[in-house]
Amino acid sequence: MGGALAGAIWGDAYSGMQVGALLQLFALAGLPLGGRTPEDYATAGVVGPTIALFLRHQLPTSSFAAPLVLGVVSGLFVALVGRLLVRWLRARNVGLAHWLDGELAAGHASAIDRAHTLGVFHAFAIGAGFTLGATVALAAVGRAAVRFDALALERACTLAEPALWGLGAGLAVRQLVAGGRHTRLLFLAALIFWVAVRWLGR
Amino acid sequence: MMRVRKIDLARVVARSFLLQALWNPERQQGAGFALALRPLFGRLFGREGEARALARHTGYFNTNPAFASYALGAVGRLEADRAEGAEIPAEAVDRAKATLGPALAALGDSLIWSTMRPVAAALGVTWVLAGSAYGPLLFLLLYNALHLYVRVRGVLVGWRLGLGFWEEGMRRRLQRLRVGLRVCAVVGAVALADAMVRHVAAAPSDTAPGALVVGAGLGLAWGEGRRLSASLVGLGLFSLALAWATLVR
Repeated sequence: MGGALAGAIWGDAYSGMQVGALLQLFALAGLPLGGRTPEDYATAGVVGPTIALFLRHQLPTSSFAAPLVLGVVSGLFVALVGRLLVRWLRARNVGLAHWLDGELAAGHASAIDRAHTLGVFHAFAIGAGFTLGATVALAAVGRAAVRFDALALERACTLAEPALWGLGAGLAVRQLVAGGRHTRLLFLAALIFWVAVRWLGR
Repeated sequence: MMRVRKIDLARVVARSFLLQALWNPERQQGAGFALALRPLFGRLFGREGEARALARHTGYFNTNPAFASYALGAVGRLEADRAEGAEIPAEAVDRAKATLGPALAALGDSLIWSTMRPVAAALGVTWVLAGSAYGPLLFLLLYNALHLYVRVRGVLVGWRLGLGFWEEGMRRRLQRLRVGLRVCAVVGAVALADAMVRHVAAAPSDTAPGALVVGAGLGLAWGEGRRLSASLVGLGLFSLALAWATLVR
C-alpha cells in the first residue's frame, strides 16, 4: 500500500506497486512472531518506490527493471537499518514504562494515556525523520552511481531482477506451505496439476 | 461501581490498536494491555481505584496483537467480577494472563502471521503482477477482514464468557478456519508461482529463467530463524550481479 501511495505521489502508482509488491514478499520472511523485532518494511515500502521512481528519470533506459531493482535494494537496506532503529526505540520505551509506574503509584491514572501519546509521537517523529533522511541519502547515492557507470548498473539490474523476484516468491511459497506435510503434499499436487494444465494449453 | 456499557467495550477495542505503542523488552505489551482496559477500570473502580488497578496490569504480557482481544475481554470480565465482590484473588487474574498470553500467541501467530498474512500478500502480489491496480486493496481487504473481526469479536466474546471463551467449540472452529486458510495458502502459492513464470517469460533477457530458478531455490531453502536475514540475502544477490556486470564486460 505504501508503494502504491508513494507511486501515486510520483505520478506512477503501478510502478510503485511493483516495488512494494516485491518488498512485501521479502517482508513475509521476517514476520514479528513472538517477541522478535521485525525488519522495518513499513519505511522500506515508502523509501523503495520513491527511489525507484526518482532513478527512473536518471537512467537512460525506458525499461523499469533497473529502477525496480534499485528501489528494492534501497528498501532492503532501509528495512535492515530500520530494525536497529526500532530496537533502539523499544529500548527507550523501558524508561517511559518506569516513569509510568511512578505516576500510577502516585494515583495519576491519566499518566498511561500521556505515556502512550508520547510513545506514539516519539516513534512517528523518529520514523518520519528516518524516512526523509534515508530517501534523500539513497537518492543521492543512486544518482551518483548512475552517473558513475549507468551501463554496468543496468546490466546488474537486468540479471538481478528475476533473481530477486524468484527469491521473494521462494520465501513466500515457503511461508505459504509451511503448515506441515499435508499442506506440502497438497501444494505439490496443485503444482503438478497447474503444470499439466499449462502444458495441455500450449 | 458503575455499570460497564457497550461504548466502553468499543473503547477497549479502539485502544487495543495501541497495544504495542509502548512495547519494550522488559514488559513487552504490558503497558498497552493496561491502556486498553482503562475504559473498563474507570467504570469499575472509580477515580481512586483506577490507578491501582492499572498498575497491576502494566507487568509483563505478550501475545499476538489481534488475539490479545480475547485476553482483554476475559481479564476485563474477571476484574468486573472482582469489583462486584466475587472472591477472585489478584494472583488468579495474573495467572490467567500468564496462561492466556502464550496460548493465544501460538494460535494467533499461526493463524494471522503464518497463514492469513502470506495468503493475502501472495494474492495481492499476483494481482499486481497480472497488471491490476487493485492488488494492494485486495491485500488490505483480505488481511483486515479476519484481523478486524478477531479484534472486535475477541473483546466481546471474552467479556461475555470470561475465561470460558477458551472452550472446545472455539478451538474446533479455529481449526476448521485454519484448514480452510491452508487450502487458500496452497492456491496462493500456485498463483504466485504462475505469476512469476509469466513475468519472467515476458522478460527480454536470456538469463532471466536461470536467475529466477536460482533466486527461488534460495528462497525455498531459506527457513525461519536463520541468523542471516532474507534482506541480506537479497542485497547479497544484487552485489553479486553488480560484481559480475562490472568485471565481465
